[in-house]
Amino acid sequence: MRERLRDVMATVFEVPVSDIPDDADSVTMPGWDSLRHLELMLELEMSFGVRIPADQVPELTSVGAIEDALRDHGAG
Amino acid sequence: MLEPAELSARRRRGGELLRSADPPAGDLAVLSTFNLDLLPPFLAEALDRHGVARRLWLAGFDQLAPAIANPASELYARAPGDVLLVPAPEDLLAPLYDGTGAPGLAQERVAELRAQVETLLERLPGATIQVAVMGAEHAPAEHLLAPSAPGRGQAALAVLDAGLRALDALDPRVVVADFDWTARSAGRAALQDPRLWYLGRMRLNHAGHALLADVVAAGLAAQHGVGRRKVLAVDLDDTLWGGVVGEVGPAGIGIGEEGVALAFQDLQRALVRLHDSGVLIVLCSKNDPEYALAAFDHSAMVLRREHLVATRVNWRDKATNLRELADELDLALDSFVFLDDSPREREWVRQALPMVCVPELPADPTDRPGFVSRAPWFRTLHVTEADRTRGASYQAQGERRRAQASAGSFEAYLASLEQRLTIEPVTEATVPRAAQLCQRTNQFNLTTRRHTHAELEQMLADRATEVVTLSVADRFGDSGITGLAITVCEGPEAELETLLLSCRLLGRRVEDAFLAVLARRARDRGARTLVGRYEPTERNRQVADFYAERGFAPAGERRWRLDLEAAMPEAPPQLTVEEPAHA
Repeated sequence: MRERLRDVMATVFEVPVSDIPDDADSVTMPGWDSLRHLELMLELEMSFGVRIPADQVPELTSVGAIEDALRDHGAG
Repeated sequence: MLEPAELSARRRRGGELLRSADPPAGDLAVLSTFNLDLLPPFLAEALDRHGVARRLWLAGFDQLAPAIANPASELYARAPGDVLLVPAPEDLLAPLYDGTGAPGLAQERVAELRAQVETLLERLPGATIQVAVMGAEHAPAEHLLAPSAPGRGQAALAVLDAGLRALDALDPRVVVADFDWTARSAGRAALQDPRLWYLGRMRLNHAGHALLADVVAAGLAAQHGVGRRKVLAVDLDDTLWGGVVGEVGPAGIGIGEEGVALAFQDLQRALVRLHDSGVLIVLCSKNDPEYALAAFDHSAMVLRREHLVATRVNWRDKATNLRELADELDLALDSFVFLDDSPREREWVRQALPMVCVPELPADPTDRPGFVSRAPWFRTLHVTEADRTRGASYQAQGERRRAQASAGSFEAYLASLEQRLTIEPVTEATVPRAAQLCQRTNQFNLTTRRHTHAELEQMLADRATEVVTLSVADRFGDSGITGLAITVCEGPEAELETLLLSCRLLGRRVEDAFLAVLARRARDRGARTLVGRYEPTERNRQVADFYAERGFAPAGERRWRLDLEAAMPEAPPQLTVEEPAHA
């Protein structure tokens, strides 16, 4: 799951996958602003076939938090 | 939209209610202009769920008007407590879809429906009259993009819907059921995401943004005349009609008002709508010509011989025929669209003539009318007068060629044409056509400046700039406005900023007469020299030497100059010119 997640993030942030550290979060990752964040959520939903509820969207600001949420929503 | 499981559950439950041994007391009569035979189970279920169970009665197919008009009809015998009217705009405004609708048709239909509701109110005292606003699935001419374009028919549809929505003002017993609005909301739900609104103030999701982008891009392309093709070449058997005319005979082809034959007829309707907006329809078919053309006498044919500008019905390969058609019309092959049901023929033309647009015509004929009317090939914003008469004008072109063949000398031919040019300043009324010429003229266009409507309007106000249009009439017909020139005067020098002619006019020395008049008009305004430019594009090589061949002296790169005090260009004596003064 981590690899697919980093692939999606690399596409959204328009950087090579190698530029996405395992502990990336919105504070340290350049370009992870509120617009990119919404884009990332939509890409994740399409890629993992899940739906992220609105109240969770603002909280998923790190690779770890996103992974936990995807797992909770049953993503493979 | 409901899930399939929910749909079948409702349908099953509705069916049980309809078969119930103990039906509800009150009657609901349903009158429609189209077949609603699959509605009753859903309606019975929904009425029951909402606590307003009724016994249903459907008047037969298209019985709305006769059932209301006839006081002895079964409708009144049943004396229902509730009546539902379901008129479809496509039925009420059918003449618009045929291209024969008069202005005011929608208002007339609203008045008729109002009268029908009043009749029901009077003849069924106490009954509730519910009117469904269905909305149309598509406008009569979707390729005309401007919602205000009269030929598109969207404005008429809006008038009809608004009229139906206002019927409840007649009486408190009238209720409007707005299916159209609800259906629109259901469709829009797929284009937005409430989370994006609340978290980011975005009103659309990806699908919504993509749709908005497409609508905008199509409008801009139409405004700038980009990508619009001019000619639709159609095959005959199994494309224009069902079956092979060589096997079933001209009287046996599949064309008519029922079933799949209606789909072929609707495809022809779509072609006639295209013809009415200036698309040239030509035939390209492998067939016995006499036999195939006899099929056009079939009474159910909507596309008639008079809609056709040229035909190639023979046994040669279709790429060769398309090349010949392009020569005959004097149009480049990249302005052609080729419609054929046969994948083999499509592939052949694609390989031989990659510049021809060869769409994948849907295999199912019932999918084709919608496919053709929504296709991007011929989109434009508005239909101009020149669009309306283009077909006739190209037919006249064919007659001119035959005249040339029989006239002998070129001078005799020119004289025989009796050409009359009208050259006049552009006006508010002719600006749209002038802009269209700027956008679409490729071959005889010296500078190819793609001026828009707004830019030309600005020029109208500029005293140093003169924009004139050219129209040409001859004994075969009137071309309408088919030429344009923009002259900018600065002190003693006048420059032809734009000079263009429709390629239909070429070979008749119209360009020489036009240039002579432009030079004289420039001199009248005080110019002593006239400057012309040639700016090359992929398509305008034929005019590279235009100025050099007419006595202009080189004056810089792709720039020529004519001393108006030394010599004026001469107009060919066989052409007459009128220059109406403008108000």
